[in-house]
Amino acid sequence: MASSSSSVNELFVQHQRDIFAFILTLVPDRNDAEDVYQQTCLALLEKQSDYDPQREFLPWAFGFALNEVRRFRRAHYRERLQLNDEAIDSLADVQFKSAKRLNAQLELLLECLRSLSAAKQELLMQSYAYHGRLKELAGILQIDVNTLYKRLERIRRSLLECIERGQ
Amino acid sequence: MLSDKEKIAAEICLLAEAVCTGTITPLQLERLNLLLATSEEAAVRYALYLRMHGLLLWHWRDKAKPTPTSPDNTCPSENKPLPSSVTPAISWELELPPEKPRPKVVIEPSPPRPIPWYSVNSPIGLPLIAYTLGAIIMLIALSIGAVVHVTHNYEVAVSRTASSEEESGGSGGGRLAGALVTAEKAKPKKEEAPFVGHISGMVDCRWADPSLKPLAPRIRQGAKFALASGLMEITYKSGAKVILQGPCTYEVESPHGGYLSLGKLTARVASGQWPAASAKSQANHKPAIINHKSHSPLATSHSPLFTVRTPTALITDLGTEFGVEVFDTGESHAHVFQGQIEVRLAGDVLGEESRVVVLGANQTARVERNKKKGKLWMIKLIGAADPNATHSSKFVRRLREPPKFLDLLDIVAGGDGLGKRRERGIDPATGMEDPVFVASYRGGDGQYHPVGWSKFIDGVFVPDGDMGPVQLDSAGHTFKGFSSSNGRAFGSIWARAAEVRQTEQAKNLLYWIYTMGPEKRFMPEGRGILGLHPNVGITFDLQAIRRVSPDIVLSRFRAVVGMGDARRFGVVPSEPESLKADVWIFVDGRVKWCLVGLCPDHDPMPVQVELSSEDRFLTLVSIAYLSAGDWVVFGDPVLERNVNGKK
Repeated sequence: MASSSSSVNELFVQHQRDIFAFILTLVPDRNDAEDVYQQTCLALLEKQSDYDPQREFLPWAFGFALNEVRRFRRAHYRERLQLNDEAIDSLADVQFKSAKRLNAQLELLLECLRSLSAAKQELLMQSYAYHGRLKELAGILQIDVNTLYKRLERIRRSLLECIERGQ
Repeated sequence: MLSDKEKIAAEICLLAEAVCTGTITPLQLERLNLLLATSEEAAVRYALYLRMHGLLLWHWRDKAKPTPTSPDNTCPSENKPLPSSVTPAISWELELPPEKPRPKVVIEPSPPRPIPWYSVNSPIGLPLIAYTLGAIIMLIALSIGAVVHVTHNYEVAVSRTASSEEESGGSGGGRLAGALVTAEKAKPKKEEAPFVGHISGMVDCRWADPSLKPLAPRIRQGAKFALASGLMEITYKSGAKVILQGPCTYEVESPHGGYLSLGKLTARVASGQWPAASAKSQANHKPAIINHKSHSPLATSHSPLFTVRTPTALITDLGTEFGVEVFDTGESHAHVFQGQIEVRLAGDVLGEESRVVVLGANQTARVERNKKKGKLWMIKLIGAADPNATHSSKFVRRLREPPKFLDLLDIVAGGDGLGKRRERGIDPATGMEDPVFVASYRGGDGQYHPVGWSKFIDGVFVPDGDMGPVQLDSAGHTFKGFSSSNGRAFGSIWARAAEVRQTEQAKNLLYWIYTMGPEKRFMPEGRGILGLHPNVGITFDLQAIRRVSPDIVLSRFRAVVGMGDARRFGVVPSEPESLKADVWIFVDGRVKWCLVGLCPDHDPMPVQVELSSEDRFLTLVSIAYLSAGDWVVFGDPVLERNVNGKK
């Protein structure tokens, strides 16, 4: 019953986080991005027989994601704060063009993360665990929410600079 | 001086950060759109920022769920680790480096600055400010004194208020007493009353007197609550619990009781909480009306027994659960659910001899005031034979009835068994979470794989009888009676919703869990299906479930076992042994149920496995020699629960 050719499935499992991250660049809201991600997964799995193993998987998968982003944008155009078509096209374009460079930089993320102090790592982790509920986290930490935003901004910017300069 | 490029890079970071924190405004979004559309560098930087954010979000979402406990008073600095209560479970490949010892901070005194004459630090400024403030306060006090007339009744009324709240509620003295209670409140307290308990639950509370709305969960002796509606549960330090049922007015008079002036409450004191006192009291009291002159009805704080005082009665717990209702006439009803209570007339208030009655389970006492003589008298009612009896249904005995089942589909989908999560699963070969159904073979390595992301799932495995004893749980229980298999699993261990859309995907046989359609015969309760396509095993950690809810007893596992019929969808078995599987259920490595050779022709089989409080692991296994088209399912899988050990 089950086909032995499961390369798309394996590649998908391997790259699912990249696909999600790509969608998040085009759909600012995390919940919306998750919806688009789910649709992308279904679309990818439905079209898995079309995949040519000679081609790179990520650009192929990103193409599906971009289609789903556009579909989502059309469906929810009036409801949500969204990037406009020009911005989405430009973002998708640079990610296709500079895929290698971006991927190489993102591979350094873990290394850069390790270079942060323990307290910063913990704060960052907590902010993601509390994503969308940062006020609650600020309350627990007994700090002003704006202070929390500033700290997170500094941490993320230092990570960005770290991966941009190649450590 | 920043170049234009650097300015844009900085601006993009700010805008990207606003996106990350979800605080971007429409104006900022407009600016972001413009920058992204016009500057390639801005787009690259934004993409990098958001991709980085996405990767972090992917890995750390739902990983750390700290419980907000009593917060650390100190504000965490950049280099200070978070309080232990918010320390996350470290995940991903990241390991936190050990915290470096922090250098001692030496604060050097700053050079003295000139102090202005008006500052409080100035030798002139401080007396000047103090005199000014004093003069203002004196002026205000004199103005109030000229308007308000205070008589010597103050002392008398305070004493009356303190001794009997019932008296202060009268129409004549009420206003004065109310004013004086306010005056009492306004007096600075020398010592704060001790904490005697906390609010352990609230449901739809509305307050009759907003000034008595609790501001913190901890409760001091003397705290008063006036509920207009809703329920509030107070847990005393002694362990006694009181559920206030609005409308209701209750004052926490002592660590062992309170004063119910109006409304209903239910008190629950664990049996054996004060074993010596309870046993003695129970031995001494016979269920009859007896004289009891020595006890003061107001002396609740001196009694080790939990006591509820009302305007007309004093109800003392003798190790039990009981309800009390006070009407606006002062009439009090006390009803016993379990154990015994002692009900005493508040006779001392009227200078009359007290009477006491001891009530047992399902008995009620009514304390009324004779309208003509003003005397109190008590009627004891037994059971529901008396139509005027206080029915137990009037009282709320649990703030929230715990659900009767723990939903195993919810647990497989990442929940705690109390929700209705579906459409998620587990990779049987690794124990990793499957956010989508992965329709492919997963090779087993003969190892047991703990599931780290769920505290209620101990682990998963791909069983193969040829590889020797198979480990079933993290305690190391093994089983060597499994048949041979190809050592591979197909797809995910999947929690499917009862209703599924007939999508294109469902037409693909690889997505068998959807292809099989509604299949209501497997889920008569409509909860959903746990898909266990051979060869897989999953072990639930019953002990972890008990740890989260200690008052819950897991009594049995229940499900409907069956196999979907792949032949209906065109699957033709290549060999007679195809479309057959063995299904096993273990508890702590012991076989509790098994069916060898389950096939689609079998009717769905309801299965119940009794559980004891000692059982720790529940393991479900499906295994087949030829794993193809063996659509093994557990429909409506639940753990039945009993509360507080009651069966």
